[in-house]
Amino acid sequence: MTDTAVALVTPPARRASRELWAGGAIVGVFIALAVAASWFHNGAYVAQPASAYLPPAWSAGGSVAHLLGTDALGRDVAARMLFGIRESVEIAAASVLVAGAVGVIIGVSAGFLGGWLDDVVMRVADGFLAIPVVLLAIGFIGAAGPSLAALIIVLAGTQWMLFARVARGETLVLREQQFVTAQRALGARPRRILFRHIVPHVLPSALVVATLNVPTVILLEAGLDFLGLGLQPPTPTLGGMISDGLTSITRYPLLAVYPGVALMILVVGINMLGDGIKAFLSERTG
Amino acid sequence: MAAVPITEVPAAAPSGRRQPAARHGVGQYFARRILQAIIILFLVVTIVFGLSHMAANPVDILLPPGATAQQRAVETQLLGLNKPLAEQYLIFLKNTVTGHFGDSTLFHVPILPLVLSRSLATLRLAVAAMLIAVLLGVPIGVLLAVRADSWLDRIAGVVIGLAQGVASFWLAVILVFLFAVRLHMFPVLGDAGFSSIVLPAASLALVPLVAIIRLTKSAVFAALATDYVKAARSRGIPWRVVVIRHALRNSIIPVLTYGGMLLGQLISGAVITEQIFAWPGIGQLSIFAIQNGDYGVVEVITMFSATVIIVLNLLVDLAYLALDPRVRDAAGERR
Repeated sequence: MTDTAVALVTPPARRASRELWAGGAIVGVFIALAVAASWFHNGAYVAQPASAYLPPAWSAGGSVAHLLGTDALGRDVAARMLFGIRESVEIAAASVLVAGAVGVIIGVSAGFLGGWLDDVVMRVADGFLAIPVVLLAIGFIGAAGPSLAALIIVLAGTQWMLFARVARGETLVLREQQFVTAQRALGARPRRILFRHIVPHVLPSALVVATLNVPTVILLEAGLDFLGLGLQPPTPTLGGMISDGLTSITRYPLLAVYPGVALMILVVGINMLGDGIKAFLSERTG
Repeated sequence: MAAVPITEVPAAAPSGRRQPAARHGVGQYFARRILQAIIILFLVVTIVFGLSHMAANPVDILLPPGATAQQRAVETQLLGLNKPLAEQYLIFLKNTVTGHFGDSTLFHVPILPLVLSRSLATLRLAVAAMLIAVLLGVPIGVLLAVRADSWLDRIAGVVIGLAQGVASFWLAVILVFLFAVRLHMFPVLGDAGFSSIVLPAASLALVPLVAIIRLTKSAVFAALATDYVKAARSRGIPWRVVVIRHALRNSIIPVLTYGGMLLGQLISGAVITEQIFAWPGIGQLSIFAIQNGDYGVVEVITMFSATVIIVLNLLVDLAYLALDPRVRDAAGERR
């Protein structure tokens, strides 16, 4: 027991690739499901083809036509979940993309130009970080009205600071690197240095932040759907399905369980993929 | 609710030689840090002002859809929206500094006292959740560090990985079902004494619990590999004592200070938790207010929560300074 501190650990390289594969596989399955959703079940999630509260296929009275049964309005739970997963992934990806683009531009500019601009930008980022994300979302969406655009703006608005901080930090280090000094000595213009030598080196870190950020955004968005501030019914969302499930929890608890489990597997998969990418990149750069 | 990004444990700066001059530097650091907090507060107020103006025209919200142009003009005049933006901003700033936010359009009482009185329930919930997270998280973290790479550690790793994917509102729903609906152990809704805080606090504790376990584990694991632990061990001090007195004591500060920051982030999670359990705090109030178009209340709750978070972060930084001599030296040496 005394020598646990020097206990053998799995070599990081192997663990990284294992996480990369497992996470990639889970995310791949979810993407395939999301694509399949639009092919097979087009429109089925809004239709009301069956009686309400049909049990899942494996219990008495269930049928293979409705694998996970039906909800309060007789809609197929499995089909709704597929669409909910698709919405989750699409919105999270779009929001993180917006947050990443805005954050990297702001962070690199702040780090590269320095001076008062740097101070102002980073303090504004601190200000955003101090505001609880859910309150920011409630205030904005409550006033602007729930819509896809408002949702993406607000989600990006709660996350851009993380990208800005990382991009700024990287830029500050890169700015002092010898290859940048050499470029400067050779007479390269600031714009060339910025786009050829700084931005490309910032992007891998931004990618890591992005993959680690997607799960956060997915959970946040699900929470807003749960509160009724995200996408509006009848559009199926995992958060909205959990909220619906809560109303009938005494008799049909499974309706609240399925979407939560889907959410969990999705988030865990993306987390693993993110950790894998992070380890992979840090190995390559030493 | 949303998984808290686990940042690196705020590393203690490499200790320099302790110089008499450091004292002076610490005072300066103190002053600069407080000034910085005030600037961030000011920016938060500015952000809230900007966003509320960006999001919608209050006239549209307050008046029914079929309002005449004259009604709109009167309302615009009444709200001061015909004044230049800069002037509106200055009025907003003045009201914020003096605490005069006007009345809630929903409850017809001054907003600030309303928010302050409701914040006590949220504070109680947040403190209860934090207690659960620390009292469970620290021992589990230490255990996992000591038993690193055992089967226990591997199972815990899987459980923690899964827990990071659990939305805290989903956990709340499941807890309600298991303990309130099925087992009748706890009341489902409202604030009726001690037993009613258990379920909301437990679901709110999920995110900080996972964070504290991970932080404690990595900090203690790193401490166990240090020379002073080996030295203590070689002096024949029992392992248990070494772990608690040497390794844990030296790694607990970042955990506890990070806990202070997590407490601030709990406010975000509390909004949904309070909504589910009908807990009468500022989270529930904010949802109720937004559903009824009472935007002033949401603005004040937002600024109030941000203030709490900024002050907590400031206290955490200063506590760090008081608790860890290495940080004190580093702060003194920085200009």
